[in-house]
Amino acid sequence: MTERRAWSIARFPEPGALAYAVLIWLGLFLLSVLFVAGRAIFGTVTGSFWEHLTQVLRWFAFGTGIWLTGVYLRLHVAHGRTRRDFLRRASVYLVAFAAVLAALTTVGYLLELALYRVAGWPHRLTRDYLFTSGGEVGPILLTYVLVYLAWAVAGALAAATFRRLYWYGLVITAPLAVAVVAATEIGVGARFANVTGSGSVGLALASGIGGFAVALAATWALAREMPLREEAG
Amino acid sequence: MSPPIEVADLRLRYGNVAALDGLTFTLDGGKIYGLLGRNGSGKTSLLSVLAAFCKPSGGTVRIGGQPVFENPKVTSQVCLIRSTCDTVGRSDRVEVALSFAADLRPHWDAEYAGTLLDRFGLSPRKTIGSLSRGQRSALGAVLGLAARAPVTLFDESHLGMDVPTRYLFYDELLSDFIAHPRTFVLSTHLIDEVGALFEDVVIIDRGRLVLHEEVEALRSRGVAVTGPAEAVDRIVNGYPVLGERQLGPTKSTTIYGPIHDSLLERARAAGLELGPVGLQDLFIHLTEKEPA
Repeated sequence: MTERRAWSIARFPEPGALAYAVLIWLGLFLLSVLFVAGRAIFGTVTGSFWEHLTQVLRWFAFGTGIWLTGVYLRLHVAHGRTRRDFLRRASVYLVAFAAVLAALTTVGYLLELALYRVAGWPHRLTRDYLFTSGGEVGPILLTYVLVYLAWAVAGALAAATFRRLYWYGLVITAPLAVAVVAATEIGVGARFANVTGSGSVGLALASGIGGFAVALAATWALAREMPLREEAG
Repeated sequence: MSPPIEVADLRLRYGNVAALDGLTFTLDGGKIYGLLGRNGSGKTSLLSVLAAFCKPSGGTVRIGGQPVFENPKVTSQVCLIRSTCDTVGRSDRVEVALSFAADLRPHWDAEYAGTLLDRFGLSPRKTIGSLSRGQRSALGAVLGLAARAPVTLFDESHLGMDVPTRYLFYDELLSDFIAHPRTFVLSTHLIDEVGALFEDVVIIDRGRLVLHEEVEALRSRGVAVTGPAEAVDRIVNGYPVLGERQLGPTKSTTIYGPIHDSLLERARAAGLELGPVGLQDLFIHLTEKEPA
């Protein structure tokens, strides 16, 4: 009999899942370098391009939330785990995933800033977030941990809704998911800065952590008695 | 190693439809059970509740004396493989599905899983989506057997398998049961084919228990009487007839009910042959729907 492996975040929901974040980041970073090089040759570099590419990483976080709950909840339950156990581990995974993706995003800003300094280009940002320059490691990290966490948990909520209530359930939960993401984006100053001014750490933490907790609670409410319907053969 | 399964007044509703309607029975465990029923009788619903795939609408299910739903001590001991083998990701490779099971199944036997893959002719490098229906069913058999769960449930898991693969599955199941005794519950429509494996059968119909009995005891409730048509008709007169076949003057009639020794003696005295009744014939009789 095989000895049971201890639970590890590196093997959840499947071995090496966090490596996808690194691959996506690497591809995007190379894309940004190519774009900036092209812009420098054929035009003028006026500000950060990496800032815009973080929108792709937001959608990647959203997709990861869908993938996690939509695919792996049923697989874990089918292999004898409880829904509660899965969601407990999934919430830890989402935090770890958001932290890894935020760390990679921060590295992206730092590398881009270094490149711009060498080339003598201005590294302007379009908005005031919790950070105002690409070199503020701590604030950048905090901003994107909260942002990716909100997008990822919104994806998890959407997938749980679809699995439990099909598409029409999204009529109920989509506004909640949008509200969680919007509150976090406003909290960190990434959206509607004219309403809140630049982001504040207190507001960002309150909206980000509060939104995550609310969306996670809604996901749990949907998943706690979710039946595993038979998939088509 | 084989916890008892206690089902009491179990109910499961899908909207207005009662899939399970007050089902009550107890399985002692440590046997191969056959779960039989016609289409829509509630077999899949029952197995889904036993494996905590869904929560019952009412009643109780206990395995080893403990409730099942969302109870990790119990769910980790139960393995349900459904006919569509939908417990694996379609985009994953076979080897990933096995590695996933190894992580989650407490009694997983990786060496045995590898042996079974070879026997069923499955390549670990293939993606699950590229497998044929029969190969996916074979993968389900691998996952179910190598999990070595104390309670292993197969719901029509042979669907799509060709005949040699089905017999390989039955052989492996029986060998592994002998080597590692535990509880198996097999839901199937191939009663004559799988029937030899069963020690007990549970027959349900329209969400209710029809019968739970040892196979031998059930078989003894019926007998096939063969001989000259006139003598056979005289002997079986008054008994419920499950089936009749006639070739020329020779007739074989299968009867059901309390078979008294006097009937058997009279039949033998009349020179008639007495044979065992098929499980499938009994099943058809017990679940026969009354004409509308």
